Amino acid sequence: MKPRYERPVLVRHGLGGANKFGALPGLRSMKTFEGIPVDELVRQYGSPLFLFSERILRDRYRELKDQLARRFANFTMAWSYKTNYLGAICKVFHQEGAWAEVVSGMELKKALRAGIPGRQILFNGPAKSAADLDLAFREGVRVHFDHLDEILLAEKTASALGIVPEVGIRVNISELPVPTWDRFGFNLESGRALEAVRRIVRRGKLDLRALHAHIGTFIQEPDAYRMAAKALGKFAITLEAEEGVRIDAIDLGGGFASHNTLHAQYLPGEEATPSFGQYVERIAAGFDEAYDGPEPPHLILETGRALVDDAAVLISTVLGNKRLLDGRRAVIVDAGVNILPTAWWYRHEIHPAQDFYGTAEPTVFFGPLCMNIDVVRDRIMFPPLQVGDRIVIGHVGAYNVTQWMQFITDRPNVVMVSSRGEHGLIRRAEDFETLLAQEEIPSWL
Amino acid sequence: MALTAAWGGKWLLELLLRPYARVLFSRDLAVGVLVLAAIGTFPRLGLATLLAVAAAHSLAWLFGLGGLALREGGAACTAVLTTLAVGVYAPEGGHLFALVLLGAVFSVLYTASFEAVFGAVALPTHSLPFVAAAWTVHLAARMLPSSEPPFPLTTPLPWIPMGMLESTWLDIPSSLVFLHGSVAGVLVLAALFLHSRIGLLLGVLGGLVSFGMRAWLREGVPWSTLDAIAAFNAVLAAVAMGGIWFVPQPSSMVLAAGSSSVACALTYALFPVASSLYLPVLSLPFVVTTHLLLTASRSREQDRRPRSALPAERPEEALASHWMRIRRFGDVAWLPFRLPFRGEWVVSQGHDGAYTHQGPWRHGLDFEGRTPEGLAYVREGKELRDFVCYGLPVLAAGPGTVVEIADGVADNRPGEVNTLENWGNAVVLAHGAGLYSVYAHLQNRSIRPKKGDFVVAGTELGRCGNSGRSPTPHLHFQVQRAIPLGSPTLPADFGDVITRTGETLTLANRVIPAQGEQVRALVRDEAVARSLAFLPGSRYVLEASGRREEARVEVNLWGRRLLRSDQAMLFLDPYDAGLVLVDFHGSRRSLLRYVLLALARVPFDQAPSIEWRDSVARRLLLPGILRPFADLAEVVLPEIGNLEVHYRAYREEGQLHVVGVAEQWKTHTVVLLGKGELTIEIEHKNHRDLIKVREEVTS
Repeated sequence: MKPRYERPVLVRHGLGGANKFGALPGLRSMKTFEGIPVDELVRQYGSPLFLFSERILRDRYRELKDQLARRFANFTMAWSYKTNYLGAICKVFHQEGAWAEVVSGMELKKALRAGIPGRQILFNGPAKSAADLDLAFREGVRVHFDHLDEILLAEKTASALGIVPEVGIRVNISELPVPTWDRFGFNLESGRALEAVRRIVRRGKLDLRALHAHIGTFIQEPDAYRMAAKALGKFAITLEAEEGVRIDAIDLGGGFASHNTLHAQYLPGEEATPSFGQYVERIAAGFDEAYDGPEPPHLILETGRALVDDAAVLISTVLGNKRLLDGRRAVIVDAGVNILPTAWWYRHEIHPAQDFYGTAEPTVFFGPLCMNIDVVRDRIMFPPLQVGDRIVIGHVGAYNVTQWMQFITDRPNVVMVSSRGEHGLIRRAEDFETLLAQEEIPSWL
Repeated sequence: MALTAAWGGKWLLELLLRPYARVLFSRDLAVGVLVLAAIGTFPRLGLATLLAVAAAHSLAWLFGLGGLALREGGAACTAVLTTLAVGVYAPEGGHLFALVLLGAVFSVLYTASFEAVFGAVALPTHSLPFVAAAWTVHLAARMLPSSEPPFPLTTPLPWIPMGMLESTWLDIPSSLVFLHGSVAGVLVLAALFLHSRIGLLLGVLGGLVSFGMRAWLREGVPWSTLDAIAAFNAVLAAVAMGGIWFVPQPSSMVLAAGSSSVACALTYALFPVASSLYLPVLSLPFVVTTHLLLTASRSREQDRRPRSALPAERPEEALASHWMRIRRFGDVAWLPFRLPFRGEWVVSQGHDGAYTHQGPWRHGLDFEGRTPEGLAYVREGKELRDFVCYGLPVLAAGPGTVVEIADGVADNRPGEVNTLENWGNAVVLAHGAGLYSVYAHLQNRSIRPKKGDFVVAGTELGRCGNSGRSPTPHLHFQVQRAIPLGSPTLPADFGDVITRTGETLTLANRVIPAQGEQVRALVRDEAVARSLAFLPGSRYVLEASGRREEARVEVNLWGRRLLRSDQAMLFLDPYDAGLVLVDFHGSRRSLLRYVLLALARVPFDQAPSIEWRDSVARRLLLPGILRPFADLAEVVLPEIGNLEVHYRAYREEGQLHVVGVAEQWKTHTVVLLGKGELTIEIEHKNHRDLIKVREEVTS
């Protein structure tokens, strides 16, 4: 074979070339996804391309479920629709036995359309219209309230239907080692939560059954869950003793970290992220501290990110190379932040999709958008890439295919690969027609 | 109105016919018709029995014995038999009317009082009240002046040819109702056949034994009434012992034959004694035989070969429910245990294990937790907290009382053992006499209940630890015969165990987990449990190509839950971890039959897909015409009646699919979760049926 040409480069010695764990992790190329050549998939479905692994989805779900099963007699996992509500993704989790957690009328309808019984749907979120509440109550969906005005609206809606639906309230907790998300729900320590419960109980139009908390996102300190579980457990016990409310479910929301690495994070996600076992053990410890003797109520978890993030990659193709003034090499690829908004939060891991040669040097990956903010990864030691080479961006399963936008370019194909080697579209790429379909030109123009 | 009328009509028919059916141990009204027809070959006798039935019912009603006693017809049955005996033995004089009424009065009194007396010692009265009533009437009749009977009861129907009244072997069945003649004999045989083929077989066996006894004991003596009496007592003894009190099996056939010979011998023994008192022996030998053998059989060490039967209407049903119980729920006296932990663990040492489960402790079980990669620990396994199962909850395997606690033994460092305090920290639960469960090597100071506490199954007893003779954290579980730690062990079988092999989950209903198996208990799925709750009072509509059936969930007197339609009953047992459809009784046309085939058992588990096996009775699928033969064959070859079904359940959004496959047929059931709705698709040979079951919501 003819030797491949390697471009000569000068690399400035930089700090961070090694850290206390030794040399930087070596790059490896990812030529296949779940055993199927990336090239073959791109030939069939185009680039950029989101690829989801059915096997990883199920494995992650089962890993968490097995951990829960070891410590809790009574628990349920609900799939967080907003994290990824593509029908195929939801189907996999529902086949595994997950309930649905929705945060809008739209998501609620999607879950109902998929055939999920109302009693297996949890309705969270700060914005629920009268029509949303009406639909939810009719279907037996359990609604978790965010603020008092919503409770008033729900009471009115329920009275009009002539029913007393089972509901919950969302609680936020100050005394946790994570930033308090006091914008959602009623604060526990300040007494707002108790006040909300008393209102609901006195008016008697809603049947309070559940406490819900969602302490944050990408929580890397499992002990925060122990504290939250303990706080909610103790609150439930107080409510039972003092208000006569029987709390039958405690919903600890989600927020488990995936194996991504935040921009500000020192250790890579693969090392820093706690295991499901660690989170679950802490929750059990919290319940143990709150419930000394009696069985704790039904535990609900709505983990989204940690289940789906690691199950997907984004394939992108190199459009060009250039050298920036600071000496970094820039690579322009065909996937930008319009389809990968999580690039703003994470240092996504990136692998070449083919064999690579030459010296790795600090590289920035730019997307195709004519916008300064379109940075896929701002600095990574990477070998030289040729036009037409491909890269594999890892851990992209959460939020991207719900938060992406049609901006400057179309949204690409999304494909699922089964563990038996089958693959198929789970969302068709948009095209020019999609762009025009929603548009109108008013008559006076 | 129509319903009330129909109900009233059924009442009347029951009052009229059940007393006759009971002569042959049956409750079936059609059997009553045939018996009445047999007696009707002597029309006056027939009329007299009808009069006796009316008198007995009226008296029982006036006396306040209650509607149930009336409908079961015990006293009236005694009155029928007494009248028949009067017809045969007493009618010397013209006081027939008075004697029949007197017989009815004593029938009611003897039946009620004997049932009370013998009920207290758990013995059946069978025809003992009849013997007493007949003797009373017999003795009373002897005090009356004799005269020519104005119309002898024993005049046969005029158009029965004389030849058919001659003495033949058919006199044996007809002598069951104190008659003679082939017509009555054939009718009685037909009634016995209709009631139970096994009963008929036993009757034939009893008859043959009586012939044998006669040939052996009374060789050369001409056939006489005594032989007929011995024969009918032998027949009754065989039918009762082999078909009612014991499960029909080869061993119970042997017992039946033995009972027949005892009954024959007793007849020959009692006859001269009774004759010297001028009393007929009647069915006294049969009653004495059953009482003797039943009482004696209860002193056996084990209730096996033959096995006592649970109350059933027919021997066939006793047989079917016996095998159903053994196949589906195991041949063990106690309830199965539940795995004493949550989540999936591995059996690291099974029964008769290589390390310590030997000798008196051969039935021990060691469980430990594993990572998905199959390791017992994470990191390097140098610390106790690295071990997967260290600190996991250990649960009570069954309801029981805490009778022994050992605590305060320090947990060993990984790799070290403490042979001084072998069991480490441990809990002993008592589940009843001679049945204790032990949970050993628990974490120091983790034991929650106190000695004397009653705990339900699943209560947390403590945490898995590494105390005592335990090099790495694990749970030692054993069932033992006595309280002290280290008592001799018993096999430990568990209910509802899910075993994982690769990706496949298999549910076993009753199993002793083997070494190396990955096992877990059921993880209850609320949605499935709610959708298959079959709450008492709820109503269901079943529909299939033009057929419609309504059923209602009831709870009967014995606390059993059943789905009852006007055609059939489907017994069901929903418990916290699953639904078991136990048994079906009723018309083959009932759609409930298919519900049992499709969902003999459904676990309420969260698994995405799970497999299990269960048995249903093949009789449910046989064409009606083949069933009598199948019944008989099942006595000897019980496997003939068994149809093993391989079930697999999987999920779709909002649905649970259950596919059942057995030879020649396949069911596919879709449970719409949260809606109480089922769709059952059945493929049987080339036939396909679709049944929809939905809950009727009454607002």
